[in-house]
Amino acid sequence: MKSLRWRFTVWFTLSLLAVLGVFVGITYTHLRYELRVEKWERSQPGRADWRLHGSYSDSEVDDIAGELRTLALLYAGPVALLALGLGYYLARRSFEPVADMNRQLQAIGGHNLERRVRLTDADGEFQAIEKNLNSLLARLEDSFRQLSEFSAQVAHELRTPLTLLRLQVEEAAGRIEPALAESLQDELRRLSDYVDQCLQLATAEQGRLALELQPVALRALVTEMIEVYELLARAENRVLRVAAGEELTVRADVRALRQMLHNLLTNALRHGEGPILVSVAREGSARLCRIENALATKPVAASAAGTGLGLRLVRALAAAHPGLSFDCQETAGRFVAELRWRS
Amino acid sequence: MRILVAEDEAKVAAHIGRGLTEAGYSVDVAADGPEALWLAGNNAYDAMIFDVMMPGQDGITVVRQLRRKGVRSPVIFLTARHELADRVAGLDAGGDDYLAKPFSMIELLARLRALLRRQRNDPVDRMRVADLELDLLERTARRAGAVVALTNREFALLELLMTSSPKPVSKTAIIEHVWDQHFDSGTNVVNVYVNYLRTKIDRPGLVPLIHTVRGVGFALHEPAP
Repeated sequence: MKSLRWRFTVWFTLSLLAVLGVFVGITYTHLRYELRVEKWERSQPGRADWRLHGSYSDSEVDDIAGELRTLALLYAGPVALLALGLGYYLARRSFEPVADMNRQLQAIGGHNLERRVRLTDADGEFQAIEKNLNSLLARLEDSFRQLSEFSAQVAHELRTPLTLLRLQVEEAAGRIEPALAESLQDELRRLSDYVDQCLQLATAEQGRLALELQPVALRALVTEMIEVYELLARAENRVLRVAAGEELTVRADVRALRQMLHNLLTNALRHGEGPILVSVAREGSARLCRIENALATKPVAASAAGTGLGLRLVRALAAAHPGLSFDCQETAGRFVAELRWRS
Repeated sequence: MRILVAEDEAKVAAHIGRGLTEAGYSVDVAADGPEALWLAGNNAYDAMIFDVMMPGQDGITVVRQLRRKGVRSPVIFLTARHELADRVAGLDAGGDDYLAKPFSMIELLARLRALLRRQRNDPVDRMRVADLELDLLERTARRAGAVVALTNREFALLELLMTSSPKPVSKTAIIEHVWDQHFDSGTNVVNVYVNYLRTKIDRPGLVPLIHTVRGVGFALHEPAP
């Protein structure tokens, strides 16, 4: 992985070694020159009138210079290691605010856009980034809120014409062509359902969802709900199997939990292929409900493909429940969705 | 039976009014909160249907004021589905049931009937079509004198069919009443369920009561002579 921290460490080490090399090089040449060219004179203690003249032989010069070289090579290793460690430490310290910022940014999602990045005692450069990021987040939060309010408004406004349409079609059902009447009623119901889900999603994402949390017997709820999905699966020559052991009690809003399970099961029917496995189980101290199926190999008709609204709603509803996490994965042609309650 | 409908959308109010009148209720319509307050304060209604979102005063505020004045008639609120905060506020204010918009007239009539039944507090409450009898308190069904064992869903389905008898009930209304969820191609499920119910109610040798009305849904009535 290319990491700026490591690059800084390497740069630091290389620069230190270069400085050391230059230093040793200069010392080495200077010493050789001094030993070879310069002659020395010394006075003899006790004999003020004596003067000794001398110079080093070539082999003596080589010996002294060689020792210097060996010594330099010997301490180059530890110095390099020390430089590496020091460099890494300094680089990590300087980039600590970046890591901190990343951690904080990761924790910000659609449901908590009001959160901001806070860096304490960071350098000027990082403070500038912090400031810009926060103003970006503020703009994002603002437009997200507007969008969410708008979709809630639209969904709200649509309910009156939809009510009228439903009442009128219902009233006229006996007078229009039967197949048309049935199709109209079915499509109207589908439209109402989308509007409901949009409104619910907007409410949940704005954090305005009021949940009535209570202990729910998960296995009993799943077993009770599953019947109709079994029928729907059978109509498509598919099997729906439930693996549920002991009864598990979880804290949830029953309506929201039903909605989540409904969306996940509908998803499995719409986008999946082959058998659907629903399991209610305990894993360590966690309780979970998992829905697995193979992904359809043939492309799903555009009308049935949906907009991803269902899963998004499940995510938003799960996020509103304390202790509940939702996760879904597509691996090797299989789709696994999981609701997990931490105890 | 006299019913008050408080709904600001004139067309919706007119449809509800017509549906209720056809079902044999007499209906007064109020277009906003103050009018509803005045009407309910001056007439005795057996039940009231209130839209939550109304200009002037919203439905919840009006009902709260009526309860304070001692008006005890049961109330059905019309509101957005899933708006639980509304629902709780509505029921705290003295509402007895709520129905999500957009709703079906059949569902509204079924809820109203259930509400009035609870209100009367009869020791016995039975519905009867031909030799089919439904005891709503004991939640049992009898056909030609013999008890028919039904699951909760089958009972709910039969209750809906009998409430609207002899008029047909649409498949979407059935789904809504029995499951409270929308299903893609869900009409298959209704067919399957009605067939379950048929095998139990219209046993061989008995006059068939459950009829398929093509394009409209299902109806429960005696066969035309």
